[in-house]
Amino acid sequence: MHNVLLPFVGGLGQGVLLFLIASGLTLIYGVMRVLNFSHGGFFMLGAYFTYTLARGHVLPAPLLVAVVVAAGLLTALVGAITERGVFRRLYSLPEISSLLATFALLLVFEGLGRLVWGIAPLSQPQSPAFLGEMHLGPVTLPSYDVFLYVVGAGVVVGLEWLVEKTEFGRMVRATAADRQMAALLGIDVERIFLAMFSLGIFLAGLGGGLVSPLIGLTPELAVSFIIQAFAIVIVGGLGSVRGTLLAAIFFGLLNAYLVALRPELADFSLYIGMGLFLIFRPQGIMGRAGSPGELAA
Amino acid sequence: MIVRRMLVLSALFALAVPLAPSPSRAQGTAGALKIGLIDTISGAYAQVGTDTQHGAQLAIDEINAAGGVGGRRLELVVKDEQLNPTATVQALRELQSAGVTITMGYASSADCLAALPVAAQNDMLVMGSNCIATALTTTKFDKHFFRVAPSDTMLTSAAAQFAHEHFPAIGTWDAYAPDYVTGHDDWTFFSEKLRRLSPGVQTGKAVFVPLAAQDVRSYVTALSSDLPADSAKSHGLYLATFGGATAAVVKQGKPENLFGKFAATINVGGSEPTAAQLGADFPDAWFVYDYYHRAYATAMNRRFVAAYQKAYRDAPNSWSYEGYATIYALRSAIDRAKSVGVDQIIAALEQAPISTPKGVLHYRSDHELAQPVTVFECKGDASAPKQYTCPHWAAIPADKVAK
Repeated sequence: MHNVLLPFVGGLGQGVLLFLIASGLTLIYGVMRVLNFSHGGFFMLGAYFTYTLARGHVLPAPLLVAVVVAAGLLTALVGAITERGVFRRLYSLPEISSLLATFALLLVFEGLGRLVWGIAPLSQPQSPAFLGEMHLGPVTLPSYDVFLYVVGAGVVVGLEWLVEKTEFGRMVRATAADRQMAALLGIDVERIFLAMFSLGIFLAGLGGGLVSPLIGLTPELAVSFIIQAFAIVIVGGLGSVRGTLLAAIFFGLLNAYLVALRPELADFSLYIGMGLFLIFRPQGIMGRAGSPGELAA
Repeated sequence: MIVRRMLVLSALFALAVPLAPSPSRAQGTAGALKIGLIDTISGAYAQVGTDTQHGAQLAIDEINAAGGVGGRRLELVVKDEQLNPTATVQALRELQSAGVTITMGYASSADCLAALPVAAQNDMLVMGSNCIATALTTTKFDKHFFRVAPSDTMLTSAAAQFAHEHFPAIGTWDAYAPDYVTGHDDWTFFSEKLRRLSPGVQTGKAVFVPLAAQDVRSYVTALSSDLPADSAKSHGLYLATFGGATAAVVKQGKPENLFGKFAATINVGGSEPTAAQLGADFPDAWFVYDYYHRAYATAMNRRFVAAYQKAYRDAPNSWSYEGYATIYALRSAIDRAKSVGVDQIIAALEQAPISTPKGVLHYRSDHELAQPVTVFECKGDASAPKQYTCPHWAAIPADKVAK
């Protein structure tokens, strides 16, 4: 029983972290139809901003959380500037153009990371309060994983509320469905794009900040999670936040169980998962055949 | 479809970086003698290349200040191979077209393996400052290759020797290693040598982790979940990661007190920069690698450490040492050969004693440098100026790491 539950706990933590990275990606695609390859660059900025704000020091948990949120907001600010300067020009272009432009932007962020923070790996220490464990019957949960579950749940509930229950959300959905009609109805489409892009980039920065105490920070962080994040967004159904959550948890659990039971296959978990979905449900978990990419919480 | 497009585009970007060819010029007998340093100067492992460059440049400055080699100044020509065998071959061809026949550096074994056939075809010398794959001096042997760093077999052999001598109470060794051929082969070699030295010792669970994995919590759980209650006394950890992979396992293993569950950790291939990166978070671990600046009491080492600290405001590490030692090995050979011809240098390297900060060394017939391997203990210490200390070190003699 213990051996069955352990990978579940680990996989869930892994999945929630992947969701936090991928959620902004799907949000931006869902509204603006831009495949934002530079998302990894914003993720990297979030991690580095956290390190810079914390000065690489050990912080108490509430302060570390505040720093991570501040890093997310700073990243969102960079995102807003980028939206005005670069992304706005991409909305009417074919996907291939936005893919090339955002890939170029990714390289720019990577180079910027090298210029500002250097090439030597940096380390943001974990807060002591997050180094403990919580016991739930036979299962031991790392405190930080529990915190990540809470953040993940908060993001899902928050986005669902924003998109489904608010006036702003109705305008976002209308814009995502038909931006020309939305504009004719008096919706300020440019402002909607700016707000949703900044929100998506805030989530990328938040993901980077949350991952910073777990790994060594290098500029290559910009590319290290991006393929996984894209796979999750595709499997989840392009534009679906709930689908992204399910896909992220699916990939997290698949990897954790393969590590525990068939370690020789664990390295291929991403490809195995994608292969299964491409064969049996190519539109993704929450996607609808023939109409991919509609924004849905 | 989208992923496929992205991958194709990424590959095109990687391949489409044009490097302008240098003008062709033969390495003559007049002017500066150029040595090509092909190493990773950018990217995640840029510290390998930059530190190698620092060490090499320091040696060149010293040699030039003393009159050069055979009256000629030495000059370093640096090429960034970006840890990419294709870029390595491109850099080698550029050097060849510029008339540079002596090359050094090479951050990874894949780079050395890619460069060697091209170098051999064009009669160029490859001084493998950093690359450690044993195949380069065995199955892939070519007379144009000489290794400066110890091979992975020598490192693993030293680790087993050290485990046998210093941790006789440990009955079982578990492994956490990168999931590639060398990671598997080295663990097998370590296990076999340790069992030969200490027949009662067992090998336990081996966890192999993908090279690019950042979230390794599942692997940490897989390693620690089967440990017995007394593992802190009876089990040792063979850790074969380096750089970011070590940072990930240290940070993500901390909630589970992973390293506290082992009586000792031996990190083969890891080095001081990893401890510097993690600072107070770094667990108590023994690095098994090429060099530690306090481990050698030779006059040349004292001079090297002092000069390096003055030039770069830090103590030299293994890569700095390898750059420095490579240049001095070349100087010894050219002095003996009284020529800069590649065949003459090869013949001299095979015979000449090589002066290095580790002492006077000799190349074996397989072009492996017979040398000691360094073992040193580092651990995080929040009260120390660098947030870590390295209180103990030892050199495992060359004859004990040869097999």
